[in-house]
Amino acid sequence: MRTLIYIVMFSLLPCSIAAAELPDGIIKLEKTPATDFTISDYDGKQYSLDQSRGKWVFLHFWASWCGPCRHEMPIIEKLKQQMTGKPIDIVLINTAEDEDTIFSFLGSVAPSLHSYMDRKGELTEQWAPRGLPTTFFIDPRGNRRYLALGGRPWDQDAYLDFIYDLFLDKTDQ
Amino acid sequence: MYKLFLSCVFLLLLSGICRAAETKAVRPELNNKDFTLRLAPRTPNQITAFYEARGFPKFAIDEIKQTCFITVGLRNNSDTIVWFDLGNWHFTSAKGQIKRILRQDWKARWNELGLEQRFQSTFHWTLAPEQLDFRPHEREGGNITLPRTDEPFTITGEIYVGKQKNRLYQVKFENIRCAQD
Repeated sequence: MRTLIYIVMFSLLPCSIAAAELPDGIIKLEKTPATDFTISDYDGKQYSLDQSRGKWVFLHFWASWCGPCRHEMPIIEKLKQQMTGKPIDIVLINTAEDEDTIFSFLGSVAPSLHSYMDRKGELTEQWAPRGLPTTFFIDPRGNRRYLALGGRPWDQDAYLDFIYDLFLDKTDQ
Repeated sequence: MYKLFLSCVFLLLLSGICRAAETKAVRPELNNKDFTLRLAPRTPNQITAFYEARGFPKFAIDEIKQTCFITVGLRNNSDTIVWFDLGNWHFTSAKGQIKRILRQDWKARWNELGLEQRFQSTFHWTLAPEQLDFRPHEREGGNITLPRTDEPFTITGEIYVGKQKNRLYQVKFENIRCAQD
């Protein structure tokens, strides 16, 4: 009987650690389907959330006027390089700014990044981030799963481990 | 020797002036183990420079210039929830209560003036959240807007802490003024 209790305790342990050890500022969301959307970049290239089915999506809302966005963007650029070939799409959505602003901002802080444009800010309103910047994590089945509050140091081990752990989440494959 | 003495006096005076300038620049702030709350009244030039740089049209800039902007920033220092609700904040001068300009007031005004949706969206995101349950270590901020006044006023508010809102902080900032250029 005692052995059985140990087995049950140890089998539960990794789940409870994983739940307790989310890095600062990462919130687990109630699993709800994310509504699909289509959005364009400054060259007219379109992206739909459905395109990323089968992969995680790092969906990041930002604006050039927000201080934490400026700080975070080069870190996201590094993250994107590290995530090349991994099952995650890093999708940036600028809130209500024009092509010139986005182009010159990204050119100065994170030249290899590219952003889609929520020209009127309507998509941002639908997603209702708590502020800018905000990142949502969408699972491979198209459900909202996590929210990152404000700018996060994505290059730190705790955050990279969090992202790599997402790929091991077999329930979503 | 006399020159050295005069130089020392001069340096002492200068350091006093610097200290006075520092004192003047101090912004209202409340810091405790649960949260840090900062207020920064913005001058018309500061605030219009921000929106002009975002391409806002002149009629919108004129509207903004007539308004008192106070940037509020809150950081949750705790491991629990800090509840922020502008609905229980009050702004009072010797003449009585100052009615805050709400999001819906701005929306109505912008629609009346025909401000493009993208500018309305930017403006909306620069306002302080009406209500927010600040998560552990979360930091958010934005502007509170009031009709511009020359009178000093007092800001009072309530901030609850804890999942069940079990701790209450009564916040009070006195002698706040709309910043002038």
